[in-house]
This record gives sequence, structure tokens and C-alpha cells, in this order.
Amino acid sequence: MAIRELKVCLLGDTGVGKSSVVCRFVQDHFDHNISPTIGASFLTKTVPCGKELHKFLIWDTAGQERFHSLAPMYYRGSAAAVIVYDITKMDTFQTLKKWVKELKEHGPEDIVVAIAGNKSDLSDIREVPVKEAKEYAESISAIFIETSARNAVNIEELFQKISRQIPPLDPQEYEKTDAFKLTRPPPTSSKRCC
Amino acid sequence: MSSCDHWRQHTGSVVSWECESTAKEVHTTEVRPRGTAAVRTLLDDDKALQRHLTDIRHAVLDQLPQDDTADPRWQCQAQNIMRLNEGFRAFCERLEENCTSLSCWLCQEPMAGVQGIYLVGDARGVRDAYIEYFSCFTNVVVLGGFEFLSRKMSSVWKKNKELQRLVSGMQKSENPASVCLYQLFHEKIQEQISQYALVLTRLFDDQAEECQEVGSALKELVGLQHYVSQVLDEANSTKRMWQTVGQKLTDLFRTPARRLREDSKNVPISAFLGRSAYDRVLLFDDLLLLLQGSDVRSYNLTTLWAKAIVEETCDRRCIRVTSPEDDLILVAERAENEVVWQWKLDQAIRQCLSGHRDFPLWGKETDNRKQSLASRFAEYTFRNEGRFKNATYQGQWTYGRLHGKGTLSWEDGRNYTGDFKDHQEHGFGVFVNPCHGGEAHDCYKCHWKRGQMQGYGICEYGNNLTYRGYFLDNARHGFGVLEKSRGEKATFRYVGHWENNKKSGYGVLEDYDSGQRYIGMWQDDQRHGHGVVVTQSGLCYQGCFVNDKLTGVGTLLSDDDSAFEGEFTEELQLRGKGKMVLPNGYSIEGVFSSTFGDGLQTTGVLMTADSDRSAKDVQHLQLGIGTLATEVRWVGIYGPLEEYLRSGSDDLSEEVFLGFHVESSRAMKKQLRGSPEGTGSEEYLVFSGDRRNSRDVPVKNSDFMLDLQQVTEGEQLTVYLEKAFQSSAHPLGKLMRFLTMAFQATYSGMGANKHLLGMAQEEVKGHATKIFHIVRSHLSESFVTAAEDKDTGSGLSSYALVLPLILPHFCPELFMLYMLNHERDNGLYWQGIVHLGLLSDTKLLEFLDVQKHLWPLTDLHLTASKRYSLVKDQCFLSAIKCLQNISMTANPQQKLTTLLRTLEEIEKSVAWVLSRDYKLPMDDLLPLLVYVVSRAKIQHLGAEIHLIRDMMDPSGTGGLYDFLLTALESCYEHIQKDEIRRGRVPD
Repeated sequence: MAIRELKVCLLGDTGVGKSSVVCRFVQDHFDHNISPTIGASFLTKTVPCGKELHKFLIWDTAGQERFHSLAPMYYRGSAAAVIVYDITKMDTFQTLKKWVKELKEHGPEDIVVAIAGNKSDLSDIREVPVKEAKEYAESISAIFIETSARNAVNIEELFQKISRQIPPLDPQEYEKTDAFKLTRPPPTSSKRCC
Repeated sequence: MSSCDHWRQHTGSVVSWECESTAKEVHTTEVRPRGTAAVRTLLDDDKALQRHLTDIRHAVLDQLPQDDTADPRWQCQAQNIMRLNEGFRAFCERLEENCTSLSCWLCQEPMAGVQGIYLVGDARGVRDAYIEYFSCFTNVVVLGGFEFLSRKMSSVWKKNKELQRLVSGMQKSENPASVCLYQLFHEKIQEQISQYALVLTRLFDDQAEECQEVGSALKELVGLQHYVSQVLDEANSTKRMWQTVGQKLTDLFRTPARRLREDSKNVPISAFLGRSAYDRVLLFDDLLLLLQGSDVRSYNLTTLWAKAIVEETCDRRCIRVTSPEDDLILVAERAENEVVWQWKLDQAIRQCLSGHRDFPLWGKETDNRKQSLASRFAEYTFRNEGRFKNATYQGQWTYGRLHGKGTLSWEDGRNYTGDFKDHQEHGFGVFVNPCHGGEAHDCYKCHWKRGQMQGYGICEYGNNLTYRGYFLDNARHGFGVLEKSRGEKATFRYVGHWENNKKSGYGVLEDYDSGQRYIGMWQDDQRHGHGVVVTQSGLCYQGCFVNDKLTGVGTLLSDDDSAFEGEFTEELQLRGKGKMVLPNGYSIEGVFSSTFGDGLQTTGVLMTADSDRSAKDVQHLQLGIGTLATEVRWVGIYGPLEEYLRSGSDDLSEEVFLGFHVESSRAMKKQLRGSPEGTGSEEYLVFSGDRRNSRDVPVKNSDFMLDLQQVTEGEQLTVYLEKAFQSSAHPLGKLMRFLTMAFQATYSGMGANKHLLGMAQEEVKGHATKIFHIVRSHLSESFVTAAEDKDTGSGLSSYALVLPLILPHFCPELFMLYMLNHERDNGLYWQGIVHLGLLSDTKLLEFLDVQKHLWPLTDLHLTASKRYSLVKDQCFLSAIKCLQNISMTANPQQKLTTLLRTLEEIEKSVAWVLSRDYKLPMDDLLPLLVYVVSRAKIQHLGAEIHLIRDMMDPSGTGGLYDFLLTALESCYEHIQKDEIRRGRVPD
């Protein structure tokens, strides 16, 4: 089966549990291809999707405001971006909107955007209503799901949804190169100005 | 002479002395009576001869006339007669010495042994003395010296009673005087040999235990007997022959030492040279003469080859005689005559080559020397029209052809020294061609193929130019470097391609006078096609040249980051439509014109929008991209390698490709063993030896291909290639040297221009790809299959295999370009580093918002204030040290590994601080990494990062190493920020 490497960029404020979501996703299941990782900052996991295997290369980013301007380096060439917010903190949702806006403007074309409302186990102190978030997601045609990294709720589903959203390879190209890399950046990368 | 006279005058005393010695013998006779008797006979014989010879000397030699310059015939005879005189006296002296030694032997103690008898102990010496004397004697015979002498001296000798007595005593008196003289001077001496043989036979019979020596001495003497009679016969027949041929021929060819070996009068044979026939053939010991009427042709035996062949037309055996310029056919009526001639020719040629006659004269087996007859060393001057006319060749031959090593010198001073094959320069050779009226010369040290320069060579021209590169059909062709040499002030240097002696194709010309370097296409010695010009001042432009003229739209970049796109001249005058971008990012689009002293005039539109972006674009704009494809750039360097690999493991092609003479270099290396490496100029012939000694790197091409075939592990391949690239004796090393040289010629010095970075890195990658394909095609199928298996194999690619290995060779120039290209952002980064360097560890940790629980300060028992002020360069030390290693290697993969280690060190430190494993999320990791980077203080981090980024395997994009590099790059960017560079330091 063909392996397709998908770069996924993880965005969101500090403390919303970005890395918890990913750690839960990666650790819950045994990964056939044991790859080196950098702490919780760079993780990989391979999941089957139809005829293909999707190997997620998950890039964490620093959520602090001061590092915000560095984000473009991380999300360039990403197939998907997972923007995480904390349902118990409204301002994290506002930050999320900023990320969405930036991705639309500067992010790669056809990037799959997934919105994850984390800490659904704490819904009693919820600040961000499901409806609002969902409507927002629909308005930008993004994936929406509420997750709980602590209880491992909807983590798997989040990535499954992303997998499904990834456009399948051109059949011709699929036959030609079975190790096609979607994440390959445009060849002009060496001349980019940052 | 004086001793002889002395002896004559005091005969009496000698007699008494004889008695004395006889008395002494009395008591030795009991021990070896028969031996002594033989020796005594010998002594008597010798003395008799001595007396006889002394008489002759008195009667003849002492009467010889003094120099008679008036008589021309005396002139030509005198030398030989004088030599005979000397030879005769030497022979007498030797005889006397022998007598003395015999007398001593007779007086000696009993057990002296037969070795003491000169005839036994020094049989060879006796032989040599006779050979020596008879050569003097026969020389006189050949020239008719005795006839001459008898006529010349007749008046003197008629009165000479002693001579009369001598002659009458030994000969029938009716013989003419010349014959008497002839007999006087050899008969007794010749007879003495028989006497000696007799004595030795007696000794041989007596001696039981030492008969071996006596036997061999006897053999020697018997040989001598034959020899002398042969020599006499030969001399006489030669003399007779000279009397039968004309005076003219005699004058031309008669020399004292020349002997006739065979004459077609005796053994009939005729010679044919093309259509002319020769009925008289004379074979001398050094010449072959053909005569037909007045037509004479002579051939030196040193350059003559005789071979029996069967002529196809009439199916008859004949002898083909080959000289450098003529092919003769000798045909005999009778087969046995043909065989005699063939044998005599072989004998004569062989003896002529060996420089001495056989002893006895004829009859040595030639089978084992056939080879040396076919191939030999000789000198010859060509006379016929043609390329070699009037040239003298000194060297090895095979069947009349220049073949092997030799020197060919023309009259006009041209000279070739080197290898020949089949009558042409072929192999390695040095050709010197005088020019400028002989004041200077062009010197070609290069490889030849069928008489023409082909392959690698060095030419030092008389006008102080030097070309190092490839030749084809005597012309510069392919890759080569032409430059001024010999210490003079250099004016230009061209590194690039040639076609038929002219610059053609891709090439780099540095003009030192104008301070410009042209990098681009050439045709017919003119700039033609796309090209880039860089100047000393940093200004550069690209455009299209037609017949050396810049035409059409080009891009002009000045060192202050302003740019102009449009039409302009080489004198940098703008004209016509164009767009100018100013350093502040403003741009003007319109019509420009500029003349000297009149400033720049323009009518156009000034744009200020998007200014920042366009300024940055100009900063990083790259020239030569897309117009000078890497595939065409250095084809002339790869061409010879590919040809050489195709040609298989041929020694000659290896030499041609590697550019040195394998054999001579090996020989010279042997000589130079232990001495320091060859100096630069000698490098062509003697490559430095130290690397060759490393066992793993083969020298030969066959090994190269074989070794690659045998590679079974990726690691092994890497080690092999790394060594190969470093070895100057390895084809890949040679290739690398050329590539590096071309790279330096392009990108060092004034080529170190940030706008050439794109070209340079493209070039390096292009080389990696090309070399990878070459290497891959020589790997074994099984290895390639295993390596490229995507489940188990580690993969094979130019990025993973070749690029990291060749990068170090290009690194100095390439890294410089990266540094220049990132000068500006690196400057900002360095400001940030300097600023952060002022902070103590804790202040910095705080400043960078590193979470307090991650601070590695728990083991420092300090007060809060001390922590703030004192602790510096203490935290995350292992990670910082690790990161600093990133500049230690040129290999991008190793740099990335270093980076990975750095992060592992950070994790370890954190785990130690927290006393548990902690997987750092980016929120925590990035501030820590910024901390480590700011403390590592790597000077040219921007250049490092971009070098790694460009040179890393693109298949790893999105993967771990990409992430690591992005993290590092984000730190680099972060440190450049205003808030860091100028941010308020926490108190």
C-alpha cells in the first residue's frame, strides 16, 4: 500500500492542549513505522485511509503571541492545519479566528483546516458554545470537532476527518509514483524572502 | 721497449740468470716434474718468439718514416700503420711480462699450482691480446697497408741487411716485399697459438685435479686459432673486394675496420627496391651496399631488418629487408643462397647491434635474440620527403618503424621526445616547437594518438601563456585553462571549453586589467550567447551577447542593491525602455538614457508601493538562472571521464584521462621514494604519493569499476567514494579536482558575488546528480536493487550519497556566497546575539519567557540576587556546545544530526531538572532553543541554515530534519526581531 506523507501543522494558543491532542493521537495506537520524534513537538503517525496509508507528520508550533510571526515557516507546505482552542476560554477561540484569517491569506492553497475545541470534558465551565464554533467552522468550510485529550474523545475522529478531506491523488500520478509527496514545497523555496 | 733493448744488449747476463733459475728448479722438479717441463717449453717458445719479434721491430718498425704530410696516401695509411706499431709493441711487452711471470712460477714454492701459469690463469687475457693485435693487423691488411709500405720503403729496406736476413730465413724469396711484410707480421705470432695449444695439451695430460682450468684454457685457445684464421680470411677477402670495385666506391666506403661479410659474387643474390634492381649486394659488418652501375645505395645495419617471406606473386621465398625509409626484396636463384644470406644478415645485424663480434666469428645461435632483432634502439636521420624529412630519430624501433620510446629532432629545432607507435607519435610525449625566431619555444607535454595531440596535455607557449587541458587533433578542444604564466603579471585567465583552438561553449574569462569576469557562452573566441559579468566593484549584469557585443534586454545590479532591467551597454550606459529599482525599494519604469558626464536622464513613472518587497527581491536576485543550464556548463570535464569509462580498463586511456604518464610516474616515484612530494610543476608527471598508499583506493580504472561492482553495503560505498574524491590518482578524484578548479574560477575572487549564489548551488547539485548517475551505473545490480527497495533499503540518491561527499570540495566558495547573500539578515541576527549576550543566564531565561520550572538552576544554591547577576554561560551547556559543532562539518546531513543531538541534549537537561521524562511541546521547546542558539553564538548562522536547506535531501521535506531546521531558522528569525535586538533588558 502506498504511503502518503502529510504534513500537519498544529496551531493555537498556549495551554489549549495542542500537544496533548497529538500525544493522545499518536500514543493510543501502535505505530508500525517507528520514527524519531522531538519530544512532543514533532510526531508522526500512520493511519490507513482507503487504498492509501496516510503518514501524518505533525508539526507543533509555539503558541505564545511573540512567536506568532514565525508561524509561516511552520505551516508552509502543510497539507492540513489543526487549530486548537480551549472551550473553556473564549479568548483562545478569538486567537483561532486570527489563525484562520492568516492561513486564508498566507497559508498554502487547498490547505485542509480543522478546528478542534479541546477540553470537552470540562463542558460545565464552557465559554465557547458548540453552535457558535460549528457555525464559524461551516462559514469557512473547515472541519469542526470537539475533543477531549484527557478522555481520548474524538481524537481519532479528528484525524480521520482530515484524512477524508485530503484530496486523493490524481489516479495517473498515483500509478506513476506511489511515494508522491504532497508536502513537497514549490521549487522556489530557496529564493523565498522571509 | 727499453727493457727489450736492455735485454738485447746484455744477453750474457740474461743467460747467466737463466742458469740461476734452472738451478733453482732442480729441487722443485721432484714435486711436479712434468708440469715444469711443459712450462719450461712454454718459456722457451715465448722467448724465441720474443727474440723474433724484436728482430722484426728493429728491422721494420724502427725504420718507419716520420709524418710525411706531402703524401696524401701516407695520410690515410699512417694512422693504421702507427696503430699496428703500437699494437705490436704492446704485444711484445705483454710477451715479456709473460716470460717474467713464467720464470717466477718456476722459482716458486712447490704448491703454486697451474693457476700461476699465465696461459691457464689468464687464458682470456692471452686471447684478448691476440684479438687486439690482429684487429690492428687486419686493418692494415684491408687498406693494403703492406703494399703501400713496401713501395714507400723499398729504397730503405734494400739496404737493410737484417730485414733481408729475416725474410730469407723464413720465406721463399721470390715473394714480393709486401707479402713478406704481411707474413712477417703475423705468421710467427699465429703459429705461437699452436705452440701454446701443444703446451696446454701436455699440461692437461699431466694434471689430474686441475684439468678443468687447463681444459677451458685450451678451449679458449682453439677458439682463438679459428678466430685468427677467420679474421685473416675476412681481411683478405675484403681487401680483394675493394680492389675489384671502383675507386670512387672505395673512397666512399672503405674504412679500416669495415669487413666484408658476404658478397653476391660469392653467393649470388639480387636486390629490388621498388622497380629498380641491383645486381651486386655487399654485406659488411655495419652496412648493406647495393650496386647497379653507378647507382649505390647504402643501409646502416643498425636500422635494418631482414625477414624471410614468401612473395605471393610467384610463390617464391625471398628476404624482405626493411629500412626506415625503404623496403628491399632480396631474391636468390637458389634457395640455399637465400638461406645463407638470411643467416648472414641476421648475424651481421645482431653483431652490429651488440657492438662486438662473436668469438669465434660465426656461429652463435640467434633464436633467443630474434626479439631484440625485431625491436631495438637505434639512431637514424630521415632523408625522404615527408613529415620526418631531415629529422633524426634516436630511440626504439620495430621492423623499420618508430615504435617505443624515442626522440625525434628536426633540423629546424622541433623536437619530440616520448612514445611512438607504428611510426607515429602515440602515447605520452613532449613536443618542443621553436617560435619567435628561436628565442622562445612552445612546449607541449601531452598525450598523442596516431601522430596528433589528443587527450590531456599541458602546453607552455613561447609567449608565456600556458594551456592545461584537452586536445583533439593538435588543437585545444574540450575543457582547458589558458593563462599567463611564469611569474609575469597575469592579464587574463580563461577556464572553459575549446573547439578547434578557440574558446567555444561555456567558459569563464577573468580579465585582470579591466577587473571583470565573464561567465557564459562563447563561440569562435567571442562572447556569444547568455552571459553574466561580475566586476571587482561588485557591480554585475547578465545579458545576451552576439559576436562579443552585449545586445537586447539585460539585468544590471549594482552593489548598493539597485537594479536596472532593460537595455544598456557594456560601458554601463543605459538606453531605452527599462525598469529601475532603487535601494529604498522605489522603482522607476520608463525610458532611460545616459551619456558620460551628463548624468542619467529618464522619463517614466515612479512607484513607491510594495517597496520593501521589491528591495528584498533585488537583494536576493540571482543571475544566470535558467539561461546557463547546469547540464551544459562543464560537459568538457565529464566528457573525457565518460569516454574513459566507456573505453574499459585501457592503460593508455587511463593515462590520457588522468593526465599523467603512468609508467614514468611510477618509475619516478620509485626514485623519489622517501623524498618530499613533487613540486607543482612536476605534478603532471609525479603525483603526490601519500594518498595512493591508502589501501582502499585503487589507482586503476579497472579496479574502479570492479570495486564499485563489489560494493555490498552503503557504508562501504560512502567510505570508498569519499577516498576516491580525495585521491588525485583516482578518476573520480581527478574529476573532482577539475570541477573544483572550475568552480573556484567562477565563484572565487570577484565571482564571490551574492547574485551568483543561485548559479553556484545549482552547479553543485548538478555535479552531484551527474556523478551519482556515473557511480550508480557502475554499481552491481543486486546492490542497487537492495538499496532502492523502499521497504528495507536506505535509498540511493544524489542527495544522500554524493552531495555530502562532494560538498566539502566546493564549500569555501559556496559558503562565502551564502554569507554574502545573507549578510544583511545575519547582521541583524548578530546584533541580537550581542544584545542577548549581555544578559546573565537567569535574566535571559526570563527574557525569553522560558517557564520557570524548566530553569536548570536547582543545583546552584544561590540567593535570588546572585542568581540574577552571577550565573552566566552555565545553563544548557551541553546543548550549546553541541550546537556549536554545526560549523565543524560541510556535510549537511551531519549538520542536521548535530542539530538533532542538540535538541536531545535540551531534553536531557530538562529531564534532569524535572527529575522525570518530559516530552517538550513546542510552547516550551522554542524558548529553550532560542536560549541555546543565542548562547551558542554561531557567527554565520544564516548562511549555515540556508546552505543546509538547499543541500538537504528534498525527499525529507516535512520530516524530522525539515522540522529541526525550521525550528532553528525560526530562532534565527526571532533573534533578528527588533524586540530582541533593542528590547528592554529585565533588571
